[in-house]
Amino acid sequence: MDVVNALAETWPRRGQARRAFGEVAREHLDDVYRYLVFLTADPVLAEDLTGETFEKAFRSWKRFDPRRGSERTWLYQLARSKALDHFRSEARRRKREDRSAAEAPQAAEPLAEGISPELEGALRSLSAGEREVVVLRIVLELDAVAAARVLGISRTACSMRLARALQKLEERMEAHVVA
Amino acid sequence: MSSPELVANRLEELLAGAFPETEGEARLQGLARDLQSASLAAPVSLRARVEAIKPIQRSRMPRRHRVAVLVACALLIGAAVGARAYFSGSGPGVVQGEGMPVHDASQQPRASYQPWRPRTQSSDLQGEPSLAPPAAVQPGRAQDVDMWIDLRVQDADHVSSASQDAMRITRALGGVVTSSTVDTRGNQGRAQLTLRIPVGNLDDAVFRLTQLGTVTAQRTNTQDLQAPLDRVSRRIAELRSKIRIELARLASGQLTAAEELEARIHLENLRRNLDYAKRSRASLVSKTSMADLTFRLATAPAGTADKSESGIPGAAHKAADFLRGAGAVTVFAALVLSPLVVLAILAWLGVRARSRRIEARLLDDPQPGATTRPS
Repeated sequence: MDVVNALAETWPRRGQARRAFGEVAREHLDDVYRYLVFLTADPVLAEDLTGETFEKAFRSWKRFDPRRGSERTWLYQLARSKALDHFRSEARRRKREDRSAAEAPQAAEPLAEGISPELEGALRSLSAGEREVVVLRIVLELDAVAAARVLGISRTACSMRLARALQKLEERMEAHVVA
Repeated sequence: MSSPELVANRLEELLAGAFPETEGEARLQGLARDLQSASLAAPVSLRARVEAIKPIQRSRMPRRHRVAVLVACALLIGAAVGARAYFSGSGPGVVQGEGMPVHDASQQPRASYQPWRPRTQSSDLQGEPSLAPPAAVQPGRAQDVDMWIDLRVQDADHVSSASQDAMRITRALGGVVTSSTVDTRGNQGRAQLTLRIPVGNLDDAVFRLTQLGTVTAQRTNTQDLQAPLDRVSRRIAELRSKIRIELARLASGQLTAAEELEARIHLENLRRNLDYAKRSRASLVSKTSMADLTFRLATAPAGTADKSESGIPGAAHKAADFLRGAGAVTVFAALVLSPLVVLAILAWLGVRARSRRIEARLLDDPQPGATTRPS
């Protein structure tokens, strides 16, 4: 597994030139999109949020400090913040309109290509928080420290959350197979 | 190592490619491989949207940031002004000399307190006006000048010698010592001399006296007597004129006996008033020709050194004074601001905890951001 070492990325070489934003965006666009697809379980919403994330990243690019984390970790943090803002506003809207119970289920679009329907079904049944840790650690191959930084929790808590998520995923897959 | 940490460490080992020891571990590795095989690329429309991000307008500082910057600048300016006022000595902490005499508030005009700066030869040559002592004395006008000078000297010996020098200087400049008290005990001592010095020589006297030690306080009090002097002079001229008129009347020989008696009585009164006016004028002239100077000498209180000494000790004392002042300001600021800081920290912690609770609740939902869209 090609593990991204967050500690190595935390301290860039002295005098290292900052890359152009376009170059960074091109390099990490797929990863950020993938992260948001797994987090939201909604590719269309993920597309919107990815666009907004990069717009915000562009506005904040001058403030990005490479000593405090890699570009990738920073982009995931921005994406997470965008997604949480969206979740909050949606929760408020649903509460206000009292439509949560009456809301029709959306048409399920595939999360990703190359995964079995059982795995996809099991992934969808996980909570957003569980899917988030799975995508960060397994799909995007972030190491425990970098993932913990994105989630704002400790390294051990991050590993424990991943262990529980994987266990749950396995159980749901078995249940699908049995069904 | 605790159980959760063991589980976490084993999981990390398995993800890093460790050989599975149980069937469950092998299944977990297989699951991870399945997840890693998921391919998902950003759609073309999203790629085009991100590529199209361009600097439409300059990133302006948000309004709340501008307000924060303005408030910070205002606080900094206020702090700087306060610190300047505190350290420039214009505050109430300025040394005015212990036991400074209380003066009659009705005396006008009164000179304000101005710390005395010893005149140097070079500055004298430059004719620096601010060094001309006493600043409130106006040449050409009759003024009653009272001065107080407090000096600090090293030890009791210097109190005695400086007192002797002060008396010598006073006499050399045509002045008189009206009273003197010298009190020395061990290494401590103090002296008070009351001097009367011709106003014309006051400048020299002050300069020479302040060379005898370190000036800790100086005060000048002037009372303008020009108006009373002019009034008395006019009165004298008027009385002389009236006396001449009465004398002429008496010399004419045209007065009756009764009128002559009355004229002589009047003349006598005028002469008495003239004498009185002359004495008043002499008194005023005497007051304005000599300045009263109270000259006090004292040693530094036991356990303290002369703060105005030069060289490294002087610099050390100045640094200590500065640090004391800065410390006082810091303690004051800490006392005033600490409750606010604690409240701000508590509020921040509360907001963060609430935000985390909401966040955890949202992420517990399998589809937290589900929206209704036309299918």
